[in-house]
Amino acid sequence: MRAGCLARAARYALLTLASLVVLFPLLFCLSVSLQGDTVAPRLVPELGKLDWRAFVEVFRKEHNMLRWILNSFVVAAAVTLGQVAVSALAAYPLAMLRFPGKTFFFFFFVGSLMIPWESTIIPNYLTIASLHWKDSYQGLILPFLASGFGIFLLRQSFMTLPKELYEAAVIEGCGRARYLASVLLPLSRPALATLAVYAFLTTWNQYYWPLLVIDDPAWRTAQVGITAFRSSEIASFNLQMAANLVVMAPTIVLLVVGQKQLVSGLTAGALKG
Amino acid sequence: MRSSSRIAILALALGGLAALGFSQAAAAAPTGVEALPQSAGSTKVSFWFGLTGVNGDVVRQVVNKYNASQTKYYVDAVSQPDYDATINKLNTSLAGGELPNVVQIYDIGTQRMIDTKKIIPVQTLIDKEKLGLIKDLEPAVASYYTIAGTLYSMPFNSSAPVMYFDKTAFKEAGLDASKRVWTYDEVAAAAKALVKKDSSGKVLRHGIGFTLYSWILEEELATQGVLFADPGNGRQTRAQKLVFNSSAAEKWLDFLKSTVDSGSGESFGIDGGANSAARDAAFVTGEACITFNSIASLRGYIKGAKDSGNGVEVGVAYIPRPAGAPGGVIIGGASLWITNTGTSAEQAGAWDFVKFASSPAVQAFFASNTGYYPPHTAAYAVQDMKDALALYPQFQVAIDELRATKASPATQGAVLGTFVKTRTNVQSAMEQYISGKVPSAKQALDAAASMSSSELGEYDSMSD
Repeated sequence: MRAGCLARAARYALLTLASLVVLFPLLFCLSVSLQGDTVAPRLVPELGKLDWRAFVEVFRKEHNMLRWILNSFVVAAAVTLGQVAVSALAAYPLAMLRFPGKTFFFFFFVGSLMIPWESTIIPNYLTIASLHWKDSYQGLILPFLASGFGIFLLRQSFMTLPKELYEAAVIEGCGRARYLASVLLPLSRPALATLAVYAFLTTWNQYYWPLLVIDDPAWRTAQVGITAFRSSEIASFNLQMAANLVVMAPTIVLLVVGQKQLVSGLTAGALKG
Repeated sequence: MRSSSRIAILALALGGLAALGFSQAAAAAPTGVEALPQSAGSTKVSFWFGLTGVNGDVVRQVVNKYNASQTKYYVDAVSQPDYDATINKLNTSLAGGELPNVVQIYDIGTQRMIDTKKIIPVQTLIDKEKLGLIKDLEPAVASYYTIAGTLYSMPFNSSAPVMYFDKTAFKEAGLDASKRVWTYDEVAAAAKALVKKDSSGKVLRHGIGFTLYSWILEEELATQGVLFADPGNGRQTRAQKLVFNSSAAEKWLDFLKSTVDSGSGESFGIDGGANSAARDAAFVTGEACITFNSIASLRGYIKGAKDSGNGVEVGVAYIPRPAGAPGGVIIGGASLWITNTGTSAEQAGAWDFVKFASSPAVQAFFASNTGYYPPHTAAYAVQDMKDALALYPQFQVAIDELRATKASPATQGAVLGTFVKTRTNVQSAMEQYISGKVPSAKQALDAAASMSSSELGEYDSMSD
């Protein structure tokens, strides 16, 4: 009994240590944000002198703060939904159907991965500007709705399902659309989840595009918005770090809520593989 | 559900932490500056600026003052993340055509701005109205922004590099805290006298703490009257190649390296972000007694030194020079550019705003609330400015340093289209040498100069 207890304690100690290492950037952020307006922060704040004003100040100084987080959320969610939908619909025929030009389309999509994003900035910018979509959600969302990576990922995942499954479904009288909705997508949850997380995080972290197509401060996304807390000459980091945490909070909550779903989804795929 | 209980725990934990210190939050803190609403019938003039934080708020206040002062034009000020982002965004926007009417651009963006070919040089506007604005400019500032005889942009906020030191430590070590001109040898000797070690030989206090900063190296070349780029720092014709791999630059790097090798100096790595912050922290807490930075950091240092409570008293001297060098510095900072986009009413509004921003009262207001000095000399007669100088006498040292500068292409500073890349190259060369990866300063600088020259050649071939 005692040996078991000890092993358990050791395991928890190890886990605590590991989580401290993983959480270090966040804890450090928190530590600096609680030390007030100082240019010489310490690693660990003095517990008696915690200064929480930075978190209030972030919202008082930039009234748009909540709006920016909302903007980021709307854009990231829309891009995620869009990419998953477009990728699934494009990957389905590539993986399951036979039609002329299939190879061409496949390489066309995969080939788009070879084009560096930087070289598409100006054409995309011109399109959005000529549509008068600067300072709008459309301008932030539209250029990212389709992704060669997403199509490739889902095609590969769809192809791992046995063809017999499709044939059996067809014999039972299942149409193509229904097969996609009732069989293919539920069985591909791990791949869809991977794509969704990837799309959400990359969109949430976008910097240059939102900077470019947004002029009106109200339309900024959180990542561009929080640069307002940088100071040009001498840096006191408390506001910056508090703003970072405020902007990160929604994604962390999302992770806490969605973790089980995500992890079980991923391992389910691994076991079946 | 398990996930909801997890959120509850998270919320409880956060709430508990918050309860520890929230009582302090009641004290009022300064809030951001809100823009005034646009009055009906006014012409909207768009203005981008790259200053953030406290300085950004002062820019917003200037804009509010302008909008409140008249009803014909309305300046819509849009803050950008920093100077780099401002010019990058502007360059990309060139293709789409939607440029701001006025934009604040940093010193080293000058050539790139001229090359956009979308600029109305302020010189033409000044000449048209026969204004005395140029005569009022600080000569060193005017000459910086004058390229081939034309003043392209209106200087707004200017700075100068200085040597900061801790007066308390200087007095304690028996060094002269009122001396302004220091040679490399004198600084190196002072640094040695300032080092404190414990019994095991571990350094408790460094004489010098510095970052590897290209801007300071450029200043050290100017101090020695040496060019950064050929021909003539790009002042009359386009710069063709970088020549910072001279013995003047070697002297500076060898000086820095010698302090590191002797244990009296500490390098905080390439300038910027966390490295600069670490350097600043070391200086204000008294862990490093000397550093080199812009005069714009003065207030931050004074406040930081006071907050840290370690008794550091901030002193300012000229940047050091090798024995026998003539001295002199290049200005830093930013200026206001007027673009040729928009209606003629918008352009007139843009010019009207730039004139307002150059007026003595506004210049004095801006300088006394930030760490910059006013490029327009009439500002010194305004009470705000007099009060600021009385409060921060160290500031006068930077102004004197600037005014002691003799105008020459070397002290005017280099103008080139690839300045940002060149600085990156210079800084990585500095890093390679100081960290000992490359045996000589010459070797590191040669490689950086040849790379920078080929990048410049590429830029020039596309811009002609």
